[in-house]
Amino acid sequence: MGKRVYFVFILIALGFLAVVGRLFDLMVLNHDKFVKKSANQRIAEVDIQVRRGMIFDRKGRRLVANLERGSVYLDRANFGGNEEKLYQLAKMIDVNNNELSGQLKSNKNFFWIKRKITLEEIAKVENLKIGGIGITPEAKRSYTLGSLASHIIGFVNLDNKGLEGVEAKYDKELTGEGGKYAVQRDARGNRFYSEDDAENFGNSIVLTIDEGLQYIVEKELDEAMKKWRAAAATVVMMNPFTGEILAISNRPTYDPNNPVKTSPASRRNRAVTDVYEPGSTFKIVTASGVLEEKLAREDEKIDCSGGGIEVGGKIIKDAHPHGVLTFMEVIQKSSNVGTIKLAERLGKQRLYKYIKKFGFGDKTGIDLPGEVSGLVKSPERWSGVSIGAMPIGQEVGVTPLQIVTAYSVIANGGYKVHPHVVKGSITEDGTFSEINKPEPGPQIVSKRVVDIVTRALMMVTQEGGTAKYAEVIGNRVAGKTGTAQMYDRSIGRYSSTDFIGSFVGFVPAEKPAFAMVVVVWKPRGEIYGGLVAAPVFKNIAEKALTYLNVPREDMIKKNVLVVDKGGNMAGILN
Amino acid sequence: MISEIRGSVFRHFLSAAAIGLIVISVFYMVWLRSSIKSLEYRMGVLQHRKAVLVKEQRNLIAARDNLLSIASIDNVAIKKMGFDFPDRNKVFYVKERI
Repeated sequence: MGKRVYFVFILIALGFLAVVGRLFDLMVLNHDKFVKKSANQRIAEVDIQVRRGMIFDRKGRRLVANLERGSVYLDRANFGGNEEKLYQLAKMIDVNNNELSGQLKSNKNFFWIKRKITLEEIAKVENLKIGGIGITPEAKRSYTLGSLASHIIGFVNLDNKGLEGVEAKYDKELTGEGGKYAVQRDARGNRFYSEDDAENFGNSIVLTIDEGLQYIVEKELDEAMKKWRAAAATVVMMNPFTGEILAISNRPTYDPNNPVKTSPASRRNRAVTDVYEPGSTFKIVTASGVLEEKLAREDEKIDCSGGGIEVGGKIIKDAHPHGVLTFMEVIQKSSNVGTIKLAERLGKQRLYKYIKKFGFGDKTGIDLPGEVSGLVKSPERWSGVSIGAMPIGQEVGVTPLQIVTAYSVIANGGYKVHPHVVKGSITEDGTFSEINKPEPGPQIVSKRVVDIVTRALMMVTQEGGTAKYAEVIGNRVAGKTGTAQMYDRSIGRYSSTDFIGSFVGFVPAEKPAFAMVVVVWKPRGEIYGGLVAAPVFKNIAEKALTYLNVPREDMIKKNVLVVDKGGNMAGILN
Repeated sequence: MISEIRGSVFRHFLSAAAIGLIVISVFYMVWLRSSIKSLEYRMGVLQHRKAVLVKEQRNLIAARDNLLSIASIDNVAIKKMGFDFPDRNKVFYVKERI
């Protein structure tokens, strides 16, 4: 009996020894090999989803969004060949059958079936459970305001790479960093909780534009386009002290959610890409130059009674003949004869110097793609007529941005200013960094000259001036009209039917809230800047001043309510 | 004799207790580990659900932004509700009497 017990005991012990031996083999001798195998089975590397940074206006209002979407692909290695179900999927997500069958025949191992479908469509695709069909999460950029500020914001392509506007210029800043992170999963592929971040965000951008002002500008521009049946129009509104762009609007425009459906002409940011002859708006250069060089006085009389002046063998005329005008009236009535006489005192070298001082012929350096420098000939290339043409804004090409930047010099007391559309960026953790610090530039003209020119420009919008339609209720406007013929390449000379009407100014004249230019290309019915562009300026300015809570300078006494401390009404001030 | 019997009983008791403790410890460890794994599964499911909800939230925020855009508000306020843009002629100033 005892021997049998021992025998059974030995058998059991041997069994346990075998188990322990095997465990020793697995857990000690082959430890590293099985740990690696387990890790391979258990741990998967997944791409970190990259989310593009946001774009905000100056008041923190979001202008874009990232919609959550998924892109459907076919992995031929895992595709079971069930084409019927595949075509069912194609119908469900609105994919062309011919396109799909073409892809299937192409022998590509991987191809996209459709990019960026909605979450509801993703759920339907997943329900079909087709082997070899996968879905990659991809965000789709959405421009929630439609065409509003489209020329500033720009747009991205299907791979979320910026192609125009701020999206392109600040593409690196907005794009987050990719990479991979590890997740643990079981034999069925179910994922365990992971502490690592599944997504990275790019930096967000804060613009200088104000959505409210942008909307006001765009609405008025639409009205103007309708009224004047113009080919195109542009408005640029800017803070003349800091160079912050408050609004840029161009017509024609486009919806950045569907940029391919519009023409390149609609997508062009004319404010920085289009060059035009500024006409009489260019006269501030001569006016400022002669005053700065002390070659003229504001009360000086200039004889414009000829109605025309001979320059380089050509006669340049005034639109309406004038008699003897003061310096201020030369600006107010926009006399070509008076301006050319003043320019002749400056001479071509000094005139060129002031043209360049005001920033013409050079890019402003705005942080938007596509800016051109305009066209300004150096004095060596001037013809005999140039000293007469250039002071009145011919033989020179400027962009709308350049002209409003030049007028900002007068508006801000004589300092050069650097226009920009981006204030700063915000990192993922919420830290704001300023990108464009508004610093005062060098002084270009003295305060004395600025004061005189400002008073002259104020006269332009008063009775007797060329822009009384730019007058704003309650605040004084300083500005200048411009009317220029367009050069017609097909006939090799200036057109008699196509003009550019413009108005540029700042309001309130003595402490400007903003400077603004309105340019209308090929208006029909009227051609003069004072009739076409000046009223647009007035309409925008009135709404903008109200929006910005800029008080009227001519406070009407009957509109003042007097209250006691605590807000109880005490009476109306008479 | 009695002390020998007591000693023997005590030794048996200790042996049984030790074996019981080992068995219970092993079971407890296994139970703990499987609870942790079970929690990891649940958290993984919740994490996935959170990701789905965050995506839905982002899409809704985008839709809300579109509805709250100035153009939409203008459309509703001016065209449907009869609001008007402030007129500079109708601005009143409130002055506190000192």
